[in-house]
Order: sequence, then C-alpha cells, then structure tokens
Amino acid sequence: MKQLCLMLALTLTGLLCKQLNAEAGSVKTNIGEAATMVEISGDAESGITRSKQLTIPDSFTFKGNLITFTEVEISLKSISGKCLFQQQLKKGANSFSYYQPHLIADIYLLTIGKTSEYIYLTNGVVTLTGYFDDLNNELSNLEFSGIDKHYPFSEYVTALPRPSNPKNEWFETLSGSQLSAFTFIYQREIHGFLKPFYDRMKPADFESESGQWLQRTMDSLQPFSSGIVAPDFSFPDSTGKVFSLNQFKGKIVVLDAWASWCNPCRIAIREVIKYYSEFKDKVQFISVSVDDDKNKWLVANNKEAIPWLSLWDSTGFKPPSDLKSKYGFQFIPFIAVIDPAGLVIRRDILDTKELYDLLKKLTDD
Amino acid sequence: MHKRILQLQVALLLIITTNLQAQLVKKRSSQSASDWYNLSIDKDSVYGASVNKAYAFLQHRQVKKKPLVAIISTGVDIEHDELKNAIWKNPKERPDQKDNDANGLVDDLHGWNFLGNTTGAMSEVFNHTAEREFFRLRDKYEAVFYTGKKFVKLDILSQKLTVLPPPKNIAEYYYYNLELSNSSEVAKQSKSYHFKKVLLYYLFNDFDSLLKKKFKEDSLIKPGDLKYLYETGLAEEDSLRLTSLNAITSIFGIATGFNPDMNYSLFKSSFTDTALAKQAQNKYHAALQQAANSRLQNEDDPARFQDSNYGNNLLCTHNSYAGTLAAGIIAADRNNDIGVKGIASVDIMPLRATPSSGDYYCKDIALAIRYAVNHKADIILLDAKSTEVNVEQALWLQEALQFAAQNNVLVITAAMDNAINLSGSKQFPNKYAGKLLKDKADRYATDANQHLFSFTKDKRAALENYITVAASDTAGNPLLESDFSKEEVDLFAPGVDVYSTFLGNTYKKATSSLMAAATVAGVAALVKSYYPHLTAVQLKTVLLESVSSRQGITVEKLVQIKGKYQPEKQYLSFEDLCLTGGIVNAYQAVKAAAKQ
Repeated sequence: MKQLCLMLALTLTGLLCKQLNAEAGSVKTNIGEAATMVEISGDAESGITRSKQLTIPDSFTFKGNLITFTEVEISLKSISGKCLFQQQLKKGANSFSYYQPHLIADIYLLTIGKTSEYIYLTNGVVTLTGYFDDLNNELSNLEFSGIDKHYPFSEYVTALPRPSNPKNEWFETLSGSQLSAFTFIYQREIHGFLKPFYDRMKPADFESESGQWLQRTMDSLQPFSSGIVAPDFSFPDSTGKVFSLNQFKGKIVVLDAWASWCNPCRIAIREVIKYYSEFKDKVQFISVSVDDDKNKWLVANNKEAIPWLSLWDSTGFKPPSDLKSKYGFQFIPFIAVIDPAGLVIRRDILDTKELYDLLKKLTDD
Repeated sequence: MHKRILQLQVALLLIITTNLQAQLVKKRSSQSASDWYNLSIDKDSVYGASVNKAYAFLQHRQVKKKPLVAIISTGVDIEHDELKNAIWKNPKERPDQKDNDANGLVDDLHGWNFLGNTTGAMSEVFNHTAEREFFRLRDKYEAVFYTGKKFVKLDILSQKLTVLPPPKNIAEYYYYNLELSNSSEVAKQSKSYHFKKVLLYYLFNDFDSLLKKKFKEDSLIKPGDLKYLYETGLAEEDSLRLTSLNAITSIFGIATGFNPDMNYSLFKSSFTDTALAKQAQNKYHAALQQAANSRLQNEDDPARFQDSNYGNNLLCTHNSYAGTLAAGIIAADRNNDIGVKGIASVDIMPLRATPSSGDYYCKDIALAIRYAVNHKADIILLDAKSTEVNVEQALWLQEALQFAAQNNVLVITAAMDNAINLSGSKQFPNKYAGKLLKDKADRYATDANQHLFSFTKDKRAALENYITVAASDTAGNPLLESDFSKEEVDLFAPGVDVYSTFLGNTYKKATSSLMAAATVAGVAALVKSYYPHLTAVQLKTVLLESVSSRQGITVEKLVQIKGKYQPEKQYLSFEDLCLTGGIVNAYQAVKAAAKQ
C-alpha cells in the first residue's frame, strides 16, 4: 500500500510539476490515510508560490439520510456474508455514517428491510438519501451518489433471457474486480463464457471476494472447458447397435444432447436438419437423447426424422447420468463441436447459426 | 411502467415512473424532470398552465387572500420541506386531546383522517362497491333463481327446490342477479356455485328418473340421448330447468370428448364426485375471503351516516403519495431554491378519506366534503371516483356536494384514466348531483341506480361549482389513457410526467389526471388569491373561458369500449374530448378575472 501511494504520487507530480525531486519529500505515506501530495508551482521572479492539494481516496465512507414509515435494518455485507455495517432505522428521519480505512473494490450486498441488491463499491464517499418503503419497494425514492462504477452493471445485466456470449462493449467499460463481480451477478457458470473476464484480470484483482469466487469457479469448470479431450461414451441406437465417440476420430463431430420433453432441443434439431446436407460428408453429427423413457425417445426420434446418428443414454438427465456428468452440462440442448483429434473446440453452443458458422469455417479449409 | 386499472376500481389512477424490478439502485434517466406546468407554449414551447407568465402579469398587484384548498385524497406528507409552511392550522384547535371547537373530532389541527381509529391504526385495504352490495343483498337474493314464472331456491335441509314469494323490489332483484353477478367477483362465484348445486338437483331428481324410464341400461346412454329430455317438457315454462338441461348435456358431451369410453353411468358418478362442486365451492370461499377485507380498522358503521365522529388526526401513511404529489403541484414553496415551484400560495387542508386501493365509502367522502365546507375551504380537490355506487349512500354524497355548492366552494375532480368516453358511461360522483330522488321507489324505477349517472336523454340539473379535468402532456396532447367526453370533462391540464413532491421529503415524476386536476386547483387558487370576490361559479367560468384552445387539432387516443381496449389508436378532434376544447391557462385566467 505504501509503495502504491508513493508511486501514484510521483507519477502525478511528474505530470504536473517540473520540480519533481523537490516534491518527493512532501508525500505522506502513512497507511490508512489519504496519500496527499502537494503541488507547488512557482513564479520564479516574484517568489510567490501557490499550492494545491490533491487527494487520492484510500478510504471508504458510506453515509446518508433515509426517511421510512416502518422500522427497517440497513446493512452492507460482502459476498461471503461478512458484515461491514449494520444499523436499525426507526420510523421517521434517520442518518447513518460508516467509515472503513480501506475497501477492496468489489460488489457488496446492500440490504434495506426486505430488499437487497449487489452494488459495486470502491474507495471514496458513497451517499444514500431519500425515502424507503419496505412494504412496497416500487414506492421507494432513493438517490445514490459515488457509485459511478456500478452503473454499467445495471445496464448490462438485463432481465432473462440474456446474451449467452459476452459483448465487446462490456470489456471496454469493465476492469479490475468489476470483471469478476460482473460474472458473479450474471450467473452463467460456463468456462467459455467466464474465460475472457478471467484472462483480463490482474493478480491484485483476485484479492477481492468476487475474484476469489471466479478463481474457484474456473478451477471447478476446468474439466468442462474447451481444448480438453472429449470424454468418450458408448450408447445404442434404435436397433440396439452400440456406437462410441472414439470410433469417429479423424472426423469433425457435432455432439447434441437432447430429450423428447425438451422443446427447444427439438427446435434446434429441426434448424440443423435444414443445413445438415451441406456438411454431412465432412462432419459426423451425433444426437444423444437423455430421455428416461425409451418409447418416448423413439416416438420423438421418428417424429423429428433425425437423419444422422441418434443414440440413447438410458441413464437419463437426473443423476447419476452418464453423458451429463462427463460433459458437465446443466441444461439441454447441449451442443459441442469436437475436432478430428478428439478435442472439444467449442461447447455450450445455444445458437444454431453460430454452429453453422463454425462448421463452415472448419470445413472450408 | 404503467399500472393498468380495471374499469371498476377506485378513483385514482396513478402512474409513477419507476423500475419494474425490486431494486435499490434505479437506472439513470436521461430525461430531466420538471414542474413544467409553470411554463407556457409561447415562451417555453410546452403546453404548461402558463403560471410563470401569470405571475409576471400580477407582479404589480396585491395578494388579497390566502385561499384554503382542501385535498380529499389518500393523505398528504405535511412534514415535507416544500409543504410544511403551507398547511392549514385549525384556528380553534389546540393539541390537548380535547375537542376545542366542538365539531366532534379531537385535535383536528390540520385536517382529518377518516380512515383509521382512535388508537392510531389506519385502514388501508378496501374492497369494491360491487362486493359490498353483494354482502348487503345476499340474505335476500343469494341462491335465488327465476324460472320464468316463479322464484325458487334450493332448500338446504330437504335438498329440494322450494318456491319463494316474489321479491318486493323486483328491480333490486335484477340489480343483484344481473348486474352485480357481473361486476362483483364474489357475486359471480356465488351464482356459479349455487347453480352447480341446482344442476345436481335436476340431474338426480328429475332427469335421471325420466331417463331410466326410457333407457333400461345406464351404461348405454350417450350424450346425444339426452335429447329425449327436451321432449319431455313440463306443463309450464321453466327456464331454469332448460338452462340446467343445457348445462348437463354440455358437460356430459365435453367429458365424452376427453374420454371416448365415457357413458351416462360413469358421468353420474363423476358428477357427484365432489370435484366439480368442490372446485366451485373453493372459488366461492376464496372470493368471499378476499371481498370481506375492507376498512377494518374503522370503528364506525359505514351504513349509518349519523355515526360521524370517527377517525384520527394522522394525515400520512406510506400510501399517501397521490395526495402528496397533488399538494406539491398546488402549493410547493415558490420562494426556496430547491425542488419544485407550486402554483399558488395557499393553506392546504389534508382530508384522508380515499383509499389507495379499492373503492371509497360514500360516507367518508361526504363527511370530508362537509368538513371542508364547514371549515371555510374555498376550493376542494376531490379525488374519489368509481363506476359503481350504493344507491342509498350516494344520496349522502350528493347532498354534501349540494352543500358545497350552496356555500360557494369550488369542487375540482379528475376524470379516471381508463380511456373511456364518459358520455353515457357510469361514473360517480359527477356533476348531476343537482337533482335528488328522495323516494326509494323512484330510485329503482329505471335500471337500478342508473339515475345517478349522467345521461343525455334525461338531463338533470348540473352543479355549477363542479369541474372535471383530464391530463395532457407537454405537446398539448391528451394522455393516451385518459377518459374523455364532450359533456362530462370540462378541460385538460398538465398531468403527464409532472415532477412534484413525494413522501419522505423527496420528489417524483408522475402521470395521472389527478395531477391535472391539482394543476387546475392550483390555478383556481391563484386567481382566487388575487380576486377573492369571485364566487365559485364565476371562478369556474373564468377558468373554462380562458383555456389555451386546441380546437381543430386531431390527436391520438386510446379508447376502451365495453371492457376492451381497441387495438388501434383512434384519431379524435380535441374539441370532442372536453367541453372547452382546451388546456388550462393561468395567465389568460388572471387577465379575465381582472376584467370581472
């Protein structure tokens, strides 16, 4: 911390003032206080000096006034539940103030009465004023200031359904622990989705609790990431003949997990059938049903008239399930593309257009 | 996001601009909020009420009176920084737990709350008038059916249909059986439930034995065979029997459609199986429970007008946002540099008599009006509207409005925002309180209580101190959802995205015809404060004649007909939307007043 402050001070001084060496000595470096730096500019002839103090916030203050009709509790907690601040608000006008010498920039859970929200907070002063209605939150009228780094969250984290792939504009705005905080709120625990966020973070960012959460999540998803060897499986087709994934090494394989009861799965299959003939010579399509009921699978299989290899995983969708636990998917349709060497090159594809584009790219060589 | 209001609900439609999800941090809005009702079309390019321009005109004149404006609504936050210096002080009351001015109410220092009790508990949840009417009339008419010749009811003990003497008031019976069973959810469920029991009666006491005579074997009878029962008519006309036969044939037919193996024997046993009747009973009981909640904290009998000393002096709850927004438009401090500027310098008398959900009680509103008049209000902003009303209780409200007219008080009210053409529509109260029907028989003479509503064919004396307002926006266009009528709406006023005072010393943007009515009340107060000699009737005339004209302008409008919103927006002429074809204009009003 000491060194960080010093470095910042020196850099700023270097930008603003020519007398660099003279200023270095005036930097205060006590831990826990705002590092101040004094810029002195002088008029050499008259000897008049003007000084200006610049403060880099190194502490966190959360304060404000709230009016409420009912007694409610206001609290600020970390992701892991560590309580930073808690106060009972009584009926009528209340004021509160909380100070912490240093806050790790991250999302924190602000709870007032029955309502909670994760807010991204950094060092500085955050104020909250207005009127809070615990009985009907829509009638609350709250004003925040000092949470500028939080606003992208509410703009990007929209109501479901949300984009399944990150948008480039997010990475133009988010940095540091904002990245891990974002993934925590977005709730899409897919290795391929999280990786661009993870890769952009610096070691210091993992000090935050959301950073730690992201690290743990990435570690647990590692077996289910792209670039790993596709786990082998063996399942029968409708005649009972058993097929294994490994017998298709040397060919591009599209693996599609579906079930008769999954309507989006069946819609996806119909979409792929439309362009299947374009790729059928170079690509091996395999649909594996996770139906519990063989008859239901057969009826659906006929109804959809699946023209490619169609197998049945009798262990189904609920644990212990063979295909599902091998590939670590939580919902279907689950579509993955495996290269001729047997490595998963992309998985968790939800858009059949995206699949088409990928296959086109792979087969155009 | 807009809250849609059903046709039969309470006076106030309030659309507050806010987020959908329950969140603490609201999205940043790019729109700036303003008290734009102060602005004018020539100077500021918005169809405000030209209040700033009026002040410029009045700058060399003296304020002669501080008008007293009563707001009969959901309550007002009198602690708000912008309002606290504009609240009426009852000159004769002191905070000493005594009724110093002997008006029957203790410590009514700034106004009164009729929706609560002496321990300080507040009444918040209200049901609808149609449900109250059901409870009032169910002892007489519940489960009573008409066969075309006789009135019958299923006797609980004997399980037989017994004949009843015809109701003394047939019109009232039809009101219960035809109108209420549509407008009241509990009446509807009651009818459905009791009808199911009638079906059971007919099946096992009439149809079954007839069928057994013709067909030997139950299991062979199919739905088509029930045709036979139509031919075995009774000696006299019986529409109830016929309806029951239709229903049973239909249910049997549908059951067969689901299960091709269905036959009459199976049908009978599944019909007696509690499922069908039980479902109807559950719905009925659920509706009863829902409807029973109303005005529970009050200690008085809402059906007895003489029982008039009730309530408390707490003027604000978390539901008092409508009244608070209205108060800000009228009276927010113009002399401080914060927040919004209200229209006039007045004393506000908050009267909490309108619930924020459910229908008002005529008694509370009538007493609130009388309180305002008795304590010398100049203007009443009346936030109380419904499409259904109890015929006897409506009389109290009509008499109170007449009382206000006789005492030179201007009453300003808002149209609802249900996109309904009010010409020929039911809305109460309305300006036709002029003529009262005292004779009970008279009241049910035409279709139930139709006489209470406005009808062009039978014009009754209209009150001349009564104004109805609908909301318009900065462009001078009507709020898409506002009600409208060439006869029943007098003028439009700023009421869309108006920024005003809100609970907890805050501010909020709101859209509602109530905001428009508050704007007109503010303008009326402004005129009155400089020209106090104007009577309520003269004040109304000045306001209506000085509108910014929107004659000849075609506007977009949503329209609801018979409970359905038309899919396409309609294009209507502004002069067909209200009597004056215009928007309130404070500047023109004070100029006109100066000439009087």
